[in-house]
Amino acid sequence: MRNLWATYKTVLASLSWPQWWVLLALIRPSLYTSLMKKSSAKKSSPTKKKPAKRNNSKRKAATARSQRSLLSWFGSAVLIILVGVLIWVVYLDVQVRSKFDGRKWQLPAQVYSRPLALYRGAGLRPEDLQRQLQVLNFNPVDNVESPGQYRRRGDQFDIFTRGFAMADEVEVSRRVRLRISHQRVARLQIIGTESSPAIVRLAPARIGGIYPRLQQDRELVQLSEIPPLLGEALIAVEDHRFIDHHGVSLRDIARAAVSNIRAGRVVQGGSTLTQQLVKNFYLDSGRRWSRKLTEAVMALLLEWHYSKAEILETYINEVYLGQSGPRQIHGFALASKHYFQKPLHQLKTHQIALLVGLVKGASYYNPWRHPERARDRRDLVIGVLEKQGLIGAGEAQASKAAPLGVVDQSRRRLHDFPAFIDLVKRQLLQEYSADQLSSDGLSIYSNLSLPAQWAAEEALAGQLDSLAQRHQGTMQQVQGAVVVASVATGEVEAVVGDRNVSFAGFNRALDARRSIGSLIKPAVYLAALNQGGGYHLASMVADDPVTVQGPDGSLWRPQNFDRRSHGEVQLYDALLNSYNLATARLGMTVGLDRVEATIRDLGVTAHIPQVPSLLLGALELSPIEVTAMYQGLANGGVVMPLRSIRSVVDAQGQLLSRYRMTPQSDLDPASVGLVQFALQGVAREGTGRGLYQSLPGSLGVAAKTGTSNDQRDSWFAGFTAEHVAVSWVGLDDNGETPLSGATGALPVWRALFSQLPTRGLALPEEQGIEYRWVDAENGGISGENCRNSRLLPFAGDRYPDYQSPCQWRQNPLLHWMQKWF
Amino acid sequence: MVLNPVIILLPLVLLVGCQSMPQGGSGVEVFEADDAGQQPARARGAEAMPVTDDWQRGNNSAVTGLADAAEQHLLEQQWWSAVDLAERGIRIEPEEPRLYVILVKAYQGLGKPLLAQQFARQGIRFCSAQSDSCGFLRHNLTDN
Repeated sequence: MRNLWATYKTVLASLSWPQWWVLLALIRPSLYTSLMKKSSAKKSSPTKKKPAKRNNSKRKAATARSQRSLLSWFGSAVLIILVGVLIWVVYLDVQVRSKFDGRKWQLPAQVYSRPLALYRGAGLRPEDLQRQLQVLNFNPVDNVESPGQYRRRGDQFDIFTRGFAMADEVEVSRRVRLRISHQRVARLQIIGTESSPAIVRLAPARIGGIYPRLQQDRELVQLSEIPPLLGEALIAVEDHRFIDHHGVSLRDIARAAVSNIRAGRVVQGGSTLTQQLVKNFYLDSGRRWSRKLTEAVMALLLEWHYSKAEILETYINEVYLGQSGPRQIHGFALASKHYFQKPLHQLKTHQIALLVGLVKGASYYNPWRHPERARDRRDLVIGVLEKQGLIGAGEAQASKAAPLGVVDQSRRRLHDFPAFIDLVKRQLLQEYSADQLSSDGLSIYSNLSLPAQWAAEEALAGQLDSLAQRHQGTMQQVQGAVVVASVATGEVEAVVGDRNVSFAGFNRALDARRSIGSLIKPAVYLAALNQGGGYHLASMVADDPVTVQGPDGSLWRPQNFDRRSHGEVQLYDALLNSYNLATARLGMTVGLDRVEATIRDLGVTAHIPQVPSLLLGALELSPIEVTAMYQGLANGGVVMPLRSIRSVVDAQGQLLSRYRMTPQSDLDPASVGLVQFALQGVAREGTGRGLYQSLPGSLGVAAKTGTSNDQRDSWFAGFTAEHVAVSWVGLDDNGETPLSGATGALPVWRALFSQLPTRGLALPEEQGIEYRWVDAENGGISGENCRNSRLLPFAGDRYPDYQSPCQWRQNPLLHWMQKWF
Repeated sequence: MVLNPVIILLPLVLLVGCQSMPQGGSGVEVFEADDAGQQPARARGAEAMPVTDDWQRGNNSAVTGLADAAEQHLLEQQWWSAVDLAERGIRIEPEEPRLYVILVKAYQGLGKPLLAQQFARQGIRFCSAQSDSCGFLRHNLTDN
């Protein structure tokens, strides 16, 4: 009722003076009639008491009164209907104007990748550069002459970049020549300019959007920006009397009716472009008579208020022209990019004809699924254009001979990274409402690196398929996730949340919180090595059975993976081999509170249970949370909160937000350096040594495997100097798997870094770190030429305080001469 | 008179004995004496893939250009512009102390001393040699 009153008020408030006049003119007689009826009734009541001799005249009078009353009621009914119709028309008029004058559409936020920076030394593979150029719709040519063209000769590229603006940064168009060698840009030359910048950027690629509920997507275009032939073709094919009619064409309706009656089914529509726009823009797609009537009235009202140009422009932006997964493609501008990966003004006649042909039924004439139908429809449109004199016979013939020209289907879904877009959306929702994101037409510039994302997708999908082939049963459903971030900046470069990389469902990278197993151990050792802990990498700890009594009296008795004890071992070896008993003993000695504080200092914000089993990974984190934790380790203890977004720009190009680096560090860099060193050992000769089966030996990597109880989760976390990445493999139902960290997640990580150009990690050289030779058995100070010695880093004054006896490995003189000569 | 070879070799042997004692510093060639085949990356800046031609870490003209432009913004007190350019530089070369100096100065100009200190802490990790940049970072770290 309140809504009805609100609508009523809106209608009355919006009435113009002629509408008020008509309304009062209609209402007044109605009131008058009603009053007359009452007056007549009052006057007639005494007549009932007149004598019987006047019966005839009374009967006549009664008949006359009855007729008058009937007429009066009929008149009142007609007037009421007229008033109702008028109110309905006025209501429709309000509807038509309010939507057309206001914001016509919800414009989804568009999400872009990072711009690809080209400079000498940039890590890049030739195939990734070519793929990125294809995504950006660069055309391969023999002679590079204009922006958007490139030529490849082996590892050498000539590229004419396009200029672009991103937030408040502007990049001009340039012609560059570059050569890639050993996965690095070896030479970069700017052609034709005096001032040669050392860095050139390719425009960010559109990678997705944040859509409203109906998943409508469109790019707005003004009438002046569309090729004239498109507008002419649209009118010629869909509504050739568009210029002449007033919204409804009775002649076309009659013609369609005759055709339909003859055919015995609906073969032709009589709707004008204006009616089609009303149907798409204001109404549902029902075929009820009431809806058709509403459509006709609204079409008349639309034509009454707005020019033909405004109506045509709105139609061109509104019309549904296809589907990309759940995303609806609306408007010719977006359809042009969807089908041809070209802006509208670059379309040729046959391509325009295809788009115009799709108006009749984008699904039925889908050029990928039904190329023959699409071709017939396109040729029909070309025929109409020729018949109308819009193109010549020669052009019509050439256009009909041209192939459909739609992009290859495999390239169609390149811009589809649902797990990464999900992360972007969640980070944006901390500052923007869901409505703003799906309707304000924002541009979101993200940190996604296309080469990193492609490498992560291929690594996960490929390795999980391989695992599924090798194992039977539930392993067919094995799932996984990968996150890649920049060590120095905390920028998230890639996210994969499903084996089916384009599936926009449960995002394991963000939402699969699972026990992290031994991935926790670096934090336990860091707590011990940190200032005040009193430990160094050569400190001895017993890898013997441990029993801890909980507050409820229950006993916790951890075991090693190999079910054996290893006696007194150095911290370095305990971490290298991921010994559970030694780690549990160390953690209990250091204290759970200090371990928890260290995990917090590494940037973990999730709940951390202060129980002994925490020391062996009874902490549930998602892959992205583990990535954040290892980013702190990789960055020397400087935690950089992970960010998927660089900046947000509104529909007018104004910068709304920029997301900058915000480092936080409470950890001793030298202690972190010691842990980094030990983790490099893990990758070289510990549980992660399988990495170097395919990675080059020169690539320095620090890494840790993780396996949860009953092998339910397989983890691998590692970093180079440039990238930190985490992979997880397991089953969604938390079931047991035959996988350990080294056999499940490690191969995914290895496959990723086999494809991703990165910089190797060096030995830690933080201030305060000194390297000393120690005995590998007893941890005492030793020498370079002593048997069983090895070089370990130590922080400050925390190093072994006893000398180990030295047995020379070779004659000292010979050793000295070898060293110096 | 013929010199006894033992007398000649004795000081050499002693010298060698001293030389083989524990030592620190960079440029270490051996990871584990018993396992010469498994050695980690040697020194900071080790590359995953060898870089050929004229590009060298630390002599990257892309970074130099960005740093020059950022310093110009510092002079004009356009702090945020300086921050943005320095961040672009860090994406290319995260181990260039000069970029962290720019960030420290910019955040000091913006009245954010804690953030400036954090960047000083991050930048100082990459100071393996004495330079004006490293001196500035150390000074700011100890001052705060």
